[in-house]
Amino acid sequence: MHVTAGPWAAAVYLTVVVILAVFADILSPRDPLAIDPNNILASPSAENLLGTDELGRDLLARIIHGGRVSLEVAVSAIVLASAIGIPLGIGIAFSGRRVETFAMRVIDVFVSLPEIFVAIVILGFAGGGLTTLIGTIGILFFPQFARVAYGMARSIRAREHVLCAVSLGAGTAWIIRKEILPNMMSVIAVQASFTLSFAMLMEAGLSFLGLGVPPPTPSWGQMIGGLKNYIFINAWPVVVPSVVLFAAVLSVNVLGDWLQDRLNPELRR
Amino acid sequence: MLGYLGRRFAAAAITLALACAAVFASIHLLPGDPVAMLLGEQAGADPEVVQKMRGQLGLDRPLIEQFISWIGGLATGDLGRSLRTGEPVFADVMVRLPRSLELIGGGLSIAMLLGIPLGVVAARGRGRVAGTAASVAAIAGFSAPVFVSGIILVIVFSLWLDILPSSGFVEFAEDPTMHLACLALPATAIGINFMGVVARMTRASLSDTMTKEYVRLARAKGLSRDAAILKHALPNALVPVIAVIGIRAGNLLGGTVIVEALFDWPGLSSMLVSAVFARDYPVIQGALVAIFAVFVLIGLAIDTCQGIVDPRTRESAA
Amino acid sequence: MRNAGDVVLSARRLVTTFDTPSGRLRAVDGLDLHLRLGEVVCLVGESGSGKSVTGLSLMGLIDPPGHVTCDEFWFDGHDLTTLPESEMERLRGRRIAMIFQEPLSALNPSRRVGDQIAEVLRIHGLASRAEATRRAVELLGRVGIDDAQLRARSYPHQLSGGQRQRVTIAIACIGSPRLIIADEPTTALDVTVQTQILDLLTEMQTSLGSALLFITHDLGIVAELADRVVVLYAGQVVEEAAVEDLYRTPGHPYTVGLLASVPDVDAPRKRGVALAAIPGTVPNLLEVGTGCRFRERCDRAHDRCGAEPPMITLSEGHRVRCWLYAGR
Repeated sequence: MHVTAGPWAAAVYLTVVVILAVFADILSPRDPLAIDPNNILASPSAENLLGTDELGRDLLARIIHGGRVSLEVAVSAIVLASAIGIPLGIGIAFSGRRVETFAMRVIDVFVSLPEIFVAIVILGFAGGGLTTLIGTIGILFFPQFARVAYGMARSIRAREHVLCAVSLGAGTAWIIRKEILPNMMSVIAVQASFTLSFAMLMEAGLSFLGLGVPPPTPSWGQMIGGLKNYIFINAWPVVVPSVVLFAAVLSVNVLGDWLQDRLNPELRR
Repeated sequence: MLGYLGRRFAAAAITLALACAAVFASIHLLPGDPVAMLLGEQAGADPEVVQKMRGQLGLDRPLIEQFISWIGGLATGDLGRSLRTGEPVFADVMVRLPRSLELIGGGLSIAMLLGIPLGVVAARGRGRVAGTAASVAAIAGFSAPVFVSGIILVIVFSLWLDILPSSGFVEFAEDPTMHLACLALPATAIGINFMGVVARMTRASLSDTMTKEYVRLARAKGLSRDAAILKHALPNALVPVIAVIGIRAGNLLGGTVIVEALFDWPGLSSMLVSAVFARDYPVIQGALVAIFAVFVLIGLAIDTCQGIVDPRTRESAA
Repeated sequence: MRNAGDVVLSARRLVTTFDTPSGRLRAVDGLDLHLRLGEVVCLVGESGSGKSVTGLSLMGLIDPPGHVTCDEFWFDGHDLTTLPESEMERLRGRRIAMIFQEPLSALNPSRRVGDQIAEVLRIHGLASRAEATRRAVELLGRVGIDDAQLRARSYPHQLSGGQRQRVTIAIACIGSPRLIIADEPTTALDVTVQTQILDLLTEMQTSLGSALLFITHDLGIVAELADRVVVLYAGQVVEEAAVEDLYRTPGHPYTVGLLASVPDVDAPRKRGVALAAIPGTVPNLLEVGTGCRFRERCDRAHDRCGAEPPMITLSEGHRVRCWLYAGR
């Protein structure tokens, strides 16, 4: 029973978050930008179900709208990273040996870079904003996809029936379409789920520092970054986005673990 | 062992040199002129002022010349002066570096002290309550953003219990107790996240090692299951864990960015972040070089540990 | 036959099951086994016959999801069916020892081999640290490792396959056990080294006066080594006899088939004869129904084989589980 309870709860939570984010404009009880100077840093009440922030804005509304930004950035970044990384990794696997060695060296250096410092410098110079944020995080994470795709493409290519097909005259394009892409999907799915949680953490961290989406548009990390200064006045408001963000990342990781066990039980992390 | 360390050291030096070049290139080749950006915020910067400033900073010289003079300065401990304060960057880096290392060291210690036992419990008790609880704790730690665990720690230890300061910094020489009190929460915040990484790695590696024949032989010798796991499986299981700690050391370093901002800890990362906001590029360069140096040195330290733990590594690499 | 001494191990109806997602697997199903001090008993069977599981069951090293039950289980005066785990730990390594198939994986890669031998004495508090090290080095010399003082400080990966197996024999013998269980200890080794290791093993066993349960699929080794043979098929004993009786008058069709695959019984030096010469494979232990488990591969199977065959005593110490001998 306890084996399945975790993934179920995670799936339910994420579904709720996604639905709220997608239909934020309809489902949000209030305007996330409406300021109320007479009701700042409030604890939950009938008016504001989750309380208010330092400008008296409704926290529930901001959480719902903030989720939209957080998810949009993380998901788009992953799509971008895999769109660059997967073709690149497969391409490297089919290039000559010297290109292969060199390219993988470069990719390894990229993977080991402390991403957040690179992100800070890029965003510091280019300025925050949705597009820059997505672009930066996407570029920082594509080497991970390239590495996984490269490894899978190489091992699938070396399988006996594929070698057999090659000797019978199968072309590279045919092998990639028929053998490599379908066979690597499960591994890519697991990689994507874990990278998604890293991307969510990265977005939240950058927004927390004030390098993310510019205010007044809310995002979870940015809300925490603003509300942390008022802990000693009222700790409640900062706890709300913190718990929501934590639960979202946890859910993604729990589902990632579950996916890992289901799809590739032989590859334990 | 010495030959092994020598090779590691050479590799580290090359990586660091490449990183320095990359730092320089990224600052100077990224779109946007540092001076224009610096002055851009002051309305009505006229071209003459810009030109004069470029001359002062040596930015009108060819890029390669600038690079050589920057590298030359780096070698002699001269990283230029801050555009904001005019203070030498190198001196500031040297003051802040130990503070960031303290955070990393504290965080790593906490991560290992909590993470390894947690991983052992999780691996040993697979399918039982204790094992499941440990696995849940590991994934929770791994999923908690550093600032979320930091904020929770502040609420518990500063707001409710009122036993530790919520932020700030005191020099160790001034007041050792207060210094450590200030260090406690930020180091724990970094440590909790990394604890999750360590625990999950330990669990995976130990689950695998526990099934090895030599663990069975250890029990055939008369050791209990737990003693066989602790004495024979765990030391071998920790070899790949240490390697992963090295690879993921960037997480710890990355964690200092958030933690230094959250707890007002005047280390390297907060130096970098404030310099980025101020477009103070000599400071950005200096801080990045120092951060990469720390990163490379952590990798070197981890390699050394691994050589000590695993006799096979020494020989194959020597 | 060498002089048989006191019974050191006596197991009646040993059953080892594993709970798998697709059901309960009976790896060992009602095994009776009696071992006397000083004798060598070979446990013979194909892979999947349950012979390795039997060895681990006797050592008490079956972990969940595995489960061992036994009607009667005596070892060296202890009732193992009621003995608590902590007491069993005191017997292991000191009274009952085991040698594994793969010496490289059986040795801890990050510990010096001398320490791994001495550890047995330290665990049981039989010697001080210095004394344990001294005795480990001495034993290392006795098991035929040159320059033992130096070799004791080696790591397993620095030794050859034969030397490693000598080390695991030293580990098994240093506590002077009453019973040594050797699970295919020569399978992973070169043919030339195999002979040396077998000679060493019997030499050590003779000098200790202990019983040796030798698990193998190699009939060449059986002929050379065994006093008695127990033939295992699909988790059950199908035949048990003194080695001469078994080779001269094999009873069970399975044994007959096995021996037919050895060209010349009087040339026991010929080794490496596998048991695969009988068509078919051991049945899936999840699916065994009632009746003789060999009947699908048996050329003498008939109607009665659908019922569980009885264990029949042919002569003193020669027992067969087969309907062919019923009602004689």
